[in-house]
Amino acid sequence: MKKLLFMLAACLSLAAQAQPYRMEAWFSDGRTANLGSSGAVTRILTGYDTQFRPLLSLFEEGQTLPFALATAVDSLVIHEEEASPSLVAHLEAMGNYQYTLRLISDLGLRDTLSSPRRNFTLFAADDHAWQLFFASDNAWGVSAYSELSEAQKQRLLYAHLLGGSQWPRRLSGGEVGEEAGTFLRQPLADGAKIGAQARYVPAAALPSVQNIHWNHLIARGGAWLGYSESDSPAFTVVGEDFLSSCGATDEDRRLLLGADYPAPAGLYAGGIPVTAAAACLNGYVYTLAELDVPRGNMAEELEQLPDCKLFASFLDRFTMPVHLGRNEAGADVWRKVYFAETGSYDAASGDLTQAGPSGLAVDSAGNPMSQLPFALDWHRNYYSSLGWQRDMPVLLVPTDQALQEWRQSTVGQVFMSGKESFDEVENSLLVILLRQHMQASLRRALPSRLGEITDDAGLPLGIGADDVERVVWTNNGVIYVVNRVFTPSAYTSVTGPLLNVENLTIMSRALRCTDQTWYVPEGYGTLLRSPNAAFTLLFPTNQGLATYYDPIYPSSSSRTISFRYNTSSTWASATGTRYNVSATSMAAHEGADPFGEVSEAKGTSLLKNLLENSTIVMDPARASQQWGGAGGYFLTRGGATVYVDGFRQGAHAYAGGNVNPQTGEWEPATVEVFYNQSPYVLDGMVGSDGNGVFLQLDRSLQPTRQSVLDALAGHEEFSEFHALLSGAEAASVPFLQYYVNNPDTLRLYSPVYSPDYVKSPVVSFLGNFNYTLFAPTNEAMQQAYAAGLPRWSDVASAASETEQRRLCLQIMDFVKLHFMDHSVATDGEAGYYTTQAFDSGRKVFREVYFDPAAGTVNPRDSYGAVQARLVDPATKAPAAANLSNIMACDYRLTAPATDDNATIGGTAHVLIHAIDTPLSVNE
Amino acid sequence: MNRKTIMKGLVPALLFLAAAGALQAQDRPHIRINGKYVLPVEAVDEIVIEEAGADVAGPSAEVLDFLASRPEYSLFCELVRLTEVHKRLPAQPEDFSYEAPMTFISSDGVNLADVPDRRFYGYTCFVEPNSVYEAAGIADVEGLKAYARNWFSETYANSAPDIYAAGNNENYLDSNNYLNRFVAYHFVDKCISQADFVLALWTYMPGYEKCLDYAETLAPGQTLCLAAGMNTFSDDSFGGRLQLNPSADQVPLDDAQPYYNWSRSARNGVLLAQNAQMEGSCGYFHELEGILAYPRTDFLRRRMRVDAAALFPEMMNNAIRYRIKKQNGYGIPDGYLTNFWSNSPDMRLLYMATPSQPSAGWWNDYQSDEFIVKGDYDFTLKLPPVPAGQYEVRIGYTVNGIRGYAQMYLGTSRETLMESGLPVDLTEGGDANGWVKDERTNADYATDKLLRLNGFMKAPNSSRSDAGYGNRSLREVGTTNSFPEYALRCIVGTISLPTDGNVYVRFRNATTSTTPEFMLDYIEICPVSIYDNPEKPEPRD
Repeated sequence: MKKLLFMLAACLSLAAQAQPYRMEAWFSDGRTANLGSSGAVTRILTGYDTQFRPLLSLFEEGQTLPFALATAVDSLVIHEEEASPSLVAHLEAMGNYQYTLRLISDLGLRDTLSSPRRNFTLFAADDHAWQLFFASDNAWGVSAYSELSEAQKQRLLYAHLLGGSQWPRRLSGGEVGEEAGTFLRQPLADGAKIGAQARYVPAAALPSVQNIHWNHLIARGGAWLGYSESDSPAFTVVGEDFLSSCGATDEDRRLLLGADYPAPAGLYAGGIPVTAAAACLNGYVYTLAELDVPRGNMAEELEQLPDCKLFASFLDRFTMPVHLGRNEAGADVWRKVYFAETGSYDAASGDLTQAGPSGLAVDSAGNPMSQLPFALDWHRNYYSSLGWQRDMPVLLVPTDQALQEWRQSTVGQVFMSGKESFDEVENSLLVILLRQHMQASLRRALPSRLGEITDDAGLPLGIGADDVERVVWTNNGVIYVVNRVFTPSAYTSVTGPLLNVENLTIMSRALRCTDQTWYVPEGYGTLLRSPNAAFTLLFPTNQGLATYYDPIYPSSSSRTISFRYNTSSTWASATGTRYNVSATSMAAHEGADPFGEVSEAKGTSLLKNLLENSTIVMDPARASQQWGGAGGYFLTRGGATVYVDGFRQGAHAYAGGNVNPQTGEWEPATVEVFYNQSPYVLDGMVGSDGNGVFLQLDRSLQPTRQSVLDALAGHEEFSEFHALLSGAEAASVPFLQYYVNNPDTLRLYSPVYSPDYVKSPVVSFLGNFNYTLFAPTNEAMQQAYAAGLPRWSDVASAASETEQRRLCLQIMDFVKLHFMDHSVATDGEAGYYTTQAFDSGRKVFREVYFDPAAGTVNPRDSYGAVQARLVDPATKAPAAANLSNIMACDYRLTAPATDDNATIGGTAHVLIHAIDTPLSVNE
Repeated sequence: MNRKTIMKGLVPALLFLAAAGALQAQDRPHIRINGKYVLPVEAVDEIVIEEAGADVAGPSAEVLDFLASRPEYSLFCELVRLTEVHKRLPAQPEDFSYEAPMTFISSDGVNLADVPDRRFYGYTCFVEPNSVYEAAGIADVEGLKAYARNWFSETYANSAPDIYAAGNNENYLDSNNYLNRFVAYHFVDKCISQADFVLALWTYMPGYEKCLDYAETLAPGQTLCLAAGMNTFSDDSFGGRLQLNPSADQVPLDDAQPYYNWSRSARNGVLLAQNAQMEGSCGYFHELEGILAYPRTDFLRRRMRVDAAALFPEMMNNAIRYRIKKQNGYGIPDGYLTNFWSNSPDMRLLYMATPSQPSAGWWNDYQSDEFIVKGDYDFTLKLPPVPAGQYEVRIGYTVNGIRGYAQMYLGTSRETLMESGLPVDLTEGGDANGWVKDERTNADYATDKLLRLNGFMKAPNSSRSDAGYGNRSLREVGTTNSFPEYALRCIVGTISLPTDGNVYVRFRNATTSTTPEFMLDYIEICPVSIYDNPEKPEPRD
């Protein structure tokens, strides 16, 4: 068919016509399409294309006509026809709507629906449909009209009565504007009394699992549950326009509506095809293919599903009863309301509202309740800016069988964490699963678009139309009964154990609260959501954090900190205990001389430092091999190097500070539990297909407390190099005396200095990164001096200031060449690495080639073809005698180190290896 | 070029409606479509339906028509006929299926933003007159073929044998063919007037007279460099001339601020003839003073900094870039831009450009414009092609608290995008990553190194801060300034291209927040010979 361009001028004026039209489109292949009746306006219409997309928007009087494309149809016929004077007259004239007429009369609406003063739109089934209903095993158990209760009659009529004259196009949002064709819900007529009859629920059926709010009703033996009279469901009508507006395919129609072709009238009411439409002078009558027993809301319909009891019980945990009043018999009637982010019950107004929690929510343990994304009983729930009429939620409900099978899976086992039944799983954990299965938008969750749905990590949920066993329409949403459970990434990821292990609550909270902002709700945890990364987390238990050596307190008067989990604060709390390094044992000082609570700023700073230096970011290509290997040295996200002797239960982990301050003995942490959250089988354990492994430690990886100078001072082999680093001040170099109080200038000439807020002198040219120091031994330093490297005494005695500066810079250049960017351990990767030494001619930093396997270090440029060798090249666990892989860190703080509010401003982590030859002979 | 003139040919007869009455069937006006149906319509006198665009030429037809009408371009015209390169341009003048959304929320999340009404196509053709060929000793089409063949051999035979093998044939209609490539390199699919070459010049630091822009041509894997400003030339004698593909080799620029280490091109490229711009109804022709051929080796040594607005032809074809300045943003509907794919229904793209007279405190962005992507963003970009090799890709942005974390991906196609590292915290200030205010000494090199080690770079020192108002460069924007936001480049990652082609980059919101704002200012594709050169540092401009 040719595409035609049909352009219309603006601002047309049309006169309304009293004569309605019925329009059909005829196609060359014999198909016809009933385009519906026109109502009392003039229309121009050219037909539908094969997708039943309207080609030209129908316009109303006075509307500006839009620019649009048209597809030719073969024939278009417009029939004039007489409209019935009223809805009642139409039904009478048709002759086969006796039940409906009887219903109208019984409810006293005959005059109302006969009068031209008010317009209504009625969806009605013919007598044949009624008879089929009475003959069927229907949900109401009625077999004759006379058995219908008053409430049932009200529901049958009022639930199908809309206000106004709603021709087909109007039902789907009108003819023009952005809303045209996008509606699927309409409000019922004003005054419709549709409130569900209260029903008595015995105690055994009231929510009781992990929910304290129903206890008083359970104690009474049960309760009447219902809705207020003002509770007014919406009417769901799915038109071809709506399907087109959200890009629905024929397969979507088939799955959602059970139809291979459009309904005769192009509409489905609550999933039932509309077979005919008739215009009347006071409205419209649409004929339903079958009698529609009004659906309940999602909560009510879910309760009725025989194979979805588990999921329904999960949702019940997030409910509470709200008193509505008393019924005619004087019994209290309650409403079940949900703890939800939208559609929550507002006590002030007595109604459900779009936003806001109820404010009452605490669980059995007194913790703040988690919330569902939306309430299952609210009729005006909507998603984003579309409004409630243009969208509705979708519940993905796994069958009981699917849930039980999932419970037995690897990830399910992590979820259950040894618990025997779902009832034992905490709400805070369960809500993550529920949220994943509660989709706010039918438009986004059409069967053909299920593949676009993302999980909590923003990755494809992995759901397809094949996973949907059946669709259940409700009056406020759609239920997809699915044969799978869609596991949240939160469970499978490397942080999964934090959700469910009681004695990891401090690290769990630290993960979430560190760096948390409105735009970064997960805080530091955001990094760990990366699905294709390979993380190793070495996190201590709460008990392991009870003794934490403060790394930034001055070494001469060190301090331990005891973290504890605090339910009433947003972060973990901590107290500090100062201990005396000269004491003979720690035990004597536990609880001694406490100095009180650690400030939140300080505590979170230390926890953040711990988080970063307990997270190893592995190379995904090598991770499985490394996890299955014998361990080694690894760089953490925070820049510190740690050592593990394996990735399994019972292995040991060392950080630079895992040293007893009294004895100087290494105290590694021990892996209490190994969680395999990876895609691999490790240590005989099947992984959860996540992004890493989690090692639960009995104590924390203690950050090193020794600065670079401290580390060098701890080994006699480095005494000469130590003297070179630290000797500027003691040498009393004349020109440097001017800069004693000017650290920014002093650092240009001295390898170490003491700016504000450091606990001890730091290397002056290092930044917030990780480095390797190739520290020459004393013998190597003698080589350097013999080759012309000046000592500080030479600098001090130099004849002129110019010479003094030159010699200072010579020392600086020598020292800087031995500091390499990146901490590379003796089992690290060989390669070229930049150093801190700057070539002022080429304006580049000099490089070295470090080959850990060979144990050699070689400057790249022509400044000296020197090859130095590591004195202690073997890779082994940290020990006092080691001359390689010595861990040090220069901390920069935000306040004086003794200040209780001092936090970490930056860290320069340095890994020190002894070398036998200096790297450069200075010019 | 007056877009309105195009549409005149499309306006059908107007629809007149009379006051309605109860008309008899035989008196009613009617609609016929394909002559087959009768639609009785009340109160309509006449409706005429015409095929769209029946009398208006799109770019493809217009190009050949124009070239054929100018005898001085006959040789080039003949090449176009032989290769049919013009047919790769759109046949229609605009995308008639485009419908502007009725509502588009602006950057403030409350008010409505303007959106494009139309989606026009466009082109620019760089054409050599016969006289240029003659000056090069080329007298006819055969001579041009030989020229192209020789260029192709020199460019690809040894360095890209796969490309050479695919194009070393006489099938001129094949886009890989040497002649087809030669001709196609003269075409880009967006409208670039000569004025557009220089519109961004005012956004550069005083004394930095170098404005470079890039455009993907119709030749596969071949990018064009458009240059304006004195410093794009080897010396100052060229004044306000425009040129294509100035040499990637640079010589130091003697200036009053040696700290900046600015440079100029070592050799000039192909000059545009002055005052020789010819305008079609949907494109431009620019006459050249030399023969244009893809200098592949230059692009192996060239750091391409591409303003985000230059990535999408629609920004030029619809007069948005450089022209539309909406403080709350100009809405760009989903599907409007070529080379941009939205992977999330919960995001919206807005173009922000500063007024012509900004003042202190305005945004700090390259060429005084930027895109922001609001919401739960996830989108993919296609960057201009580069020769095979290893490159580092960066994105320019300013730090603020609403940026969130972004997971970045790199790849050589949309299907092969791979995660590039961990999600990046775009809210974190530069000082956490080593940013220190320039001291204008060698110490600044240490700052640059530390930033790079942490995955970031300072912004270029050639671009002015405060949307072109400030006297500071973007490099200097940091916490010590009145508008405390760092202007940084985030290193997305490195990628190795096995053959000449496009780089694709994807950015995805890595948090559960649905309200972050991603800033898309400019992209850099930097070859390894520049970013990892042990002999000299990367230029800071």
